[in-house]
Amino acid sequence: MARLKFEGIEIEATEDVDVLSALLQAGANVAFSCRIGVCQSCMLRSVKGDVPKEAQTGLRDSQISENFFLACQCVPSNDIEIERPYTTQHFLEGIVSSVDDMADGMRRLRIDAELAYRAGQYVTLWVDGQTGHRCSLASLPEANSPLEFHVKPVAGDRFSDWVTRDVNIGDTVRLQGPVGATFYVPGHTQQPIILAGTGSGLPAIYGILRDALQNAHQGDIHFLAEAQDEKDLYLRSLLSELDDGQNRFKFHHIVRPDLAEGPGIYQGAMADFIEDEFGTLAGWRSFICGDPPAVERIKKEIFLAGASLNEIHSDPYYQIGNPPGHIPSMSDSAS
Amino acid sequence: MASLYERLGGSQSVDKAVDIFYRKVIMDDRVSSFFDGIDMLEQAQKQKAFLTVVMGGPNVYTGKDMREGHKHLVARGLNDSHVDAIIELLSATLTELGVGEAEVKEVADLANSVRSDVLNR
Ligand code: FES
Repeated sequence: MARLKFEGIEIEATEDVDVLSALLQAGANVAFSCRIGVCQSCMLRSVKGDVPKEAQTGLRDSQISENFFLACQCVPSNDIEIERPYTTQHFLEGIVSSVDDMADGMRRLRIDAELAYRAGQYVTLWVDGQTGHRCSLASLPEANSPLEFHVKPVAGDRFSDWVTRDVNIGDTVRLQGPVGATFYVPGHTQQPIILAGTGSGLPAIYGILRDALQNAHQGDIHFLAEAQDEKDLYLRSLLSELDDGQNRFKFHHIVRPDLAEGPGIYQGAMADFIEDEFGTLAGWRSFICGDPPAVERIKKEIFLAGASLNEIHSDPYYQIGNPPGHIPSMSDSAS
Repeated sequence: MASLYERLGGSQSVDKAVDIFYRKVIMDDRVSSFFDGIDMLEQAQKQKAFLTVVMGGPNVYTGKDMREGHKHLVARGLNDSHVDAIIELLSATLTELGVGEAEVKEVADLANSVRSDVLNR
């Protein structure tokens, strides 16, 4: 008999009963619709314990590697600990190891922590009991190298005040995460790739680019950064540093006409740029990170340009989780 | 006889159908507004479940699910004309995939049979 743990409840699942039925029976608030393993609305994640392969049919490689599964198709033979896919109650401590200014008014924060993650995922950083901020990881998970975050200062924002003014080296922060299934999965090395980002998603996209390069991806890689203001141009220098002269990727900043001009800068709309530069995107793999409305729009543009839905990777938008110390209850639902 | 779902090749061919169908839906002014402001990838997955069912794949949708799932859309004005449009786009998708006329009609009839549940009548 398998034991299931989910948001503070523990259930003994009787044989042949799927996880969705067991959780619903126990009164948990879990979404579902088709119950035949197709709509994926019942997707959950195992944070401890294997899930049967059949429960991952139709999921993306990135989701499979993060132990996502379809609750309606999952009849477990061993104990599992379950969380919703894009929130987690896993917290760990980190120590601020450096903080400095980057180009274009951005701030870089480095934190030492024993975090297992993939470039492109994000964590929520809690700098005190209440101030949590979702931050994408711009670093690669290498041994003994700190986590790196790029923060855009915003007037009047608690977290941003902390990063620009109050932070001290040696400060302790709490990290909640990592979560997200938008990251590079090795394979199909000849496939052309689009990495598109806006605002807070730019560091994630930069991390995914580094990951693809490190994995010696062979197909064309295009980095499309949509800039709302000057600060969103900050990656230019980092990207030139990454360029080893072998033309392994191209970067483009998509800007409003009055914002900036120069090489690598396209003035106009993302959709027009895609059409001018690529024509069709049939066969391309794409990764999209950033501010939710922009991500939705760009996904649509990339899809309408011919990319297959299965090849478009981006995370749904979830609210920041509860602060450390919060005891989750079944009525806290992911939204 | 095997269902259209099986003959077309099951899950993978439905993926292809969803690509074509969803592209048509979001470019069609009659219905596209119902798909605004929601996560496209999640929505596409629901469409896949829908296509799986109307093509004769596994089905456990109940009339109640159909009603619940569309209530908020009916409140936003979903009516017969939109269902007609969806069935038209669905038929065009299958035709594009080389499905014969008689079978396209079969699928359309099946989709039509849930009309009153979808519209909460
Ligand atoms: S409820 Fe649709 S996949 Fe589980």
